[in-house]
Amino acid sequence: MESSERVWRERGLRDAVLAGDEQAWCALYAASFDGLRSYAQWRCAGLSDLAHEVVQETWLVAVRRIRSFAPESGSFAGWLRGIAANVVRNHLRRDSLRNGQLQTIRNGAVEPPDSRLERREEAERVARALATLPEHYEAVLRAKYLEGLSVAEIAAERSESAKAVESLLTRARQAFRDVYEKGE
Amino acid sequence: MNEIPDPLDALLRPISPSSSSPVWKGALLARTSRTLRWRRRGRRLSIAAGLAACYAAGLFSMLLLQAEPRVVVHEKIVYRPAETKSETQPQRETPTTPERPLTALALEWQAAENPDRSVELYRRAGDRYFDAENDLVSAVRCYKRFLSECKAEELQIDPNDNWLLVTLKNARLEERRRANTNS
Repeated sequence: MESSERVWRERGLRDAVLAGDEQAWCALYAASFDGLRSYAQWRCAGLSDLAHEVVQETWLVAVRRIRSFAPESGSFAGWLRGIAANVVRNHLRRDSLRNGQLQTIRNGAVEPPDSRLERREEAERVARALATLPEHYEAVLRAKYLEGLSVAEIAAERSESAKAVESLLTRARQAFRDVYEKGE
Repeated sequence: MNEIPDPLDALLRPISPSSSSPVWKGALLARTSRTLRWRRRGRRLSIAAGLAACYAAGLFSMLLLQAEPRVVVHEKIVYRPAETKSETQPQRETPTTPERPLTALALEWQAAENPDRSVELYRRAGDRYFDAENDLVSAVRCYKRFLSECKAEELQIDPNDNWLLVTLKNARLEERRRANTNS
C-alpha cells in the first residue's frame, strides 16, 4: 500500500518535472538531498570533497535523465543512489583523487600532513573496495552500516530470513575485506 | 540476535557530513532548476520552430501553386458559313449537334434557299447523295442543277470527280458543243 502510494506520488512528481514544473523538482530535491549526501559520504569513506563532487554530479545527471526514472522499478532515492554509485566509480577510475588538490577533513579535525595522507589513502581504499562490490553486497552493507538497521530489520525489509541475511552480510564483509586487503 | 563483531566495521561505519545543510545546497538546487528551465524553453522553442516550419512550408506550397504556368487557350477563329434559317421553314437541325455534317437533303434545301451559294451547295448535296446515301436519282438531280448554274471552267473534268459527275459533265459539254455547232 505504502509502495503504491510512493509510486503514485513519485510518478506525479516526475511527470510534473518533465513538464517543466520547478516546484515538483524542489520537492524531490528537498526530500532526497540529505539521504543522497549521507550515502555519498559513506561511499566515499568520509572524503568530504569527493562526496561533495559526487552529490553535485549526481543531481546534475538526475535532472538531465529524469525521464528514465521509473517509479515502478524503485524509489527515487534508490535511483539517485544508482547514479551516485556510478559517479563514484567513474571518479575513482579517473584517479583524480591523487592530484593532491583535495583536502581530507575527517570529523572536522585538522591533522598533521603525514597522518592526513595516511587517512586519505585508507579512505580511498575503502571507497574503491565499496565500488567494486556487487550490488547486493553493497546494498546489505549500506542497510547495516549507513542506515543502521539490525539483521532482523534487514531481513524484514528484504523479505528474507534473518539467517539468510546474516549469511549475506558475512559474505559481503568477506568480499569487502578481500578487496580492501588486496589494495594494501 | 547475536551479530559477529568484525574488525572492518570501523571502516564501514558512516561518517556524518560536516554540516547538516551545506551552503552549496541552495546553489545546486538553483543550478539544477536552471537546467530544467532551459529544457522547458528548448521544448517550447522546438514546438515554435516546428509550427513556423509548417507555416513556411504552407507558404512555399502556395507560392509554387501560384507560380505554375496557367493554361492559355488560343482560340482560332474558323470561318463557318452561317446557316440562314427561314422563318417559315421548320428548324431541321437541333442546335446541340452543330458539328454533325449536314445531310444531302439539308444541303439541297440550303442551295434552294441561298441562290448566291447554290452552285457550291448543289455540288456538295450531289456528292453527299452519291457517296453517303447511295441515292443516284437525287445525286443526278443535284448535279444537274450544279452543272446548269456553274461557270464554264467548273465544267472541266476534275480528278476528284466521281464517275457520275464525270458522265454528266461530258454530257453537258457535248450539249454545248452541239449547240455551238448548230448556231
